[in-house]
Amino acid sequence: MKIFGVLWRNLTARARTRAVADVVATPAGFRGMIEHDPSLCTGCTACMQVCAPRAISFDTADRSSITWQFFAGQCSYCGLCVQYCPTHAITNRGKLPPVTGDQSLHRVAHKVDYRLCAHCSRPIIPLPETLLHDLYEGALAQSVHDQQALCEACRRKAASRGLRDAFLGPDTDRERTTT
Amino acid sequence: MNDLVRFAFALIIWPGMLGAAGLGLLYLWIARKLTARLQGRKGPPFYQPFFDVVKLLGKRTVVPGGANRGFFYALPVVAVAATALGLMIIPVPGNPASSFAGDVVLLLFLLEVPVFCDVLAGYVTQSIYGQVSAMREGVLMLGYNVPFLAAVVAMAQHAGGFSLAELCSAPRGVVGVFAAIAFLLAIPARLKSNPFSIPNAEQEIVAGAHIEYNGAPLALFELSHALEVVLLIDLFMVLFVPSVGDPAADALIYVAGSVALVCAVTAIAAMTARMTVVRAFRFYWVWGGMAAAASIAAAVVN
Repeated sequence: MKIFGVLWRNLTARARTRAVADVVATPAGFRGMIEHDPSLCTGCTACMQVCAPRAISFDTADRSSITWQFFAGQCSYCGLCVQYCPTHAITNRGKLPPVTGDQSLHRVAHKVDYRLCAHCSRPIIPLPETLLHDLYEGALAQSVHDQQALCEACRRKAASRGLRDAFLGPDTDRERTTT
Repeated sequence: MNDLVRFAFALIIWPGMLGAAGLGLLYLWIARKLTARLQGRKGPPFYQPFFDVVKLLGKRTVVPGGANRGFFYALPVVAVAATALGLMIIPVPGNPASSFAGDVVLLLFLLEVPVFCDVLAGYVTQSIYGQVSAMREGVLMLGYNVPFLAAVVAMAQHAGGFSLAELCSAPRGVVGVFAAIAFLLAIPARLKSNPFSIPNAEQEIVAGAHIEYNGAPLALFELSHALEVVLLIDLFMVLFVPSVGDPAADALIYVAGSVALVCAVTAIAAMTARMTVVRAFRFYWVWGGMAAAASIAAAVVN
């Protein structure tokens, strides 16, 4: 009649049932929920492109900003978005999504505001400062900052103008020789 | 209060629908909580069975293809109605309805109605699991009714009539002991709890006869099960626990005895494994048969 001993032990011991908040320890290397830093995001949509379960999407309806949207309920924790994010705006640090029946707590939406091109006023999202430091190393020259204030088309024009000036000299000189 | 009002009160308030539904769902909670504790789990809060029924009542009902709609909806209603009527005539403390000749026979019939509804539900829903469950229930019914009916018949023979009032007032004596044993043997099978949880063996045939049931009809089946628990326990208390005369003491004995019985059945369920239907059938015809024979013999000799 060992069963009586088993029942008595179960009855007198603390229940093995865990509370909702009583989260089990995660294993080493557990990726967890992704975190998004809107100050580093350029809205390139690389994360959306590589997200197989379509947990990440972008809302581009607004003309003054782009919204990065994430739904943890759809995420498979594969970590591809973290791997492919060129500006390291997406990271994962083993954080678990909240245990709740409220789906809104599993949804994240971050607004990334556009800036206007200093030359043509087209909406742009400049590269984050940290990435510029990675690209150019050391202190950033004023020309880099000037370039970042321009849209892609204006930056290309500025670059070709610079190239032409390098070969043919500044505009003012060239005008003098041709006349 | 005239008779009609008294019967209406007994049917709807106490010990009928409302009172028994609350009590039955509370008993089911006690059973769930105790099972959980005996298994080292925490168990649900006391309002869980109530929430379950309310939740089911709010769900949309889907009638399975090929099932007869009329039967599908009628069976749970009949099961609840039969158990409520049974509760109406059971003379527990506080029941205003008066006893009448032959009410024991009516009660025995009403106790069988939810079982028949379960069997029919298994066949009506056209599910193979439901049919297996219905077959098992039918076979088991032929087993557990041997000691069950013998216990009641022996008590009636001893009391000298098929009226609940007579059964209550008659001295129990040695017949009462044998009949109580026979009755207790039948209780786990009647409540479909281990080791006789054969018709609702969830690991084998999922939800058994109720597999295709959902929404309000399933809620009614749950309710009828809760009422059945109360009715069966009430019947045990009425048949085998004599009244002490004082209404307050009677009520206290009634509640304490009922809870003790629920706990005992639950503890047996927690410590045993499910039998096969053949073994259960043999158990009831051998051991149940012996208890039945002993109680009938004691009643005849006395």
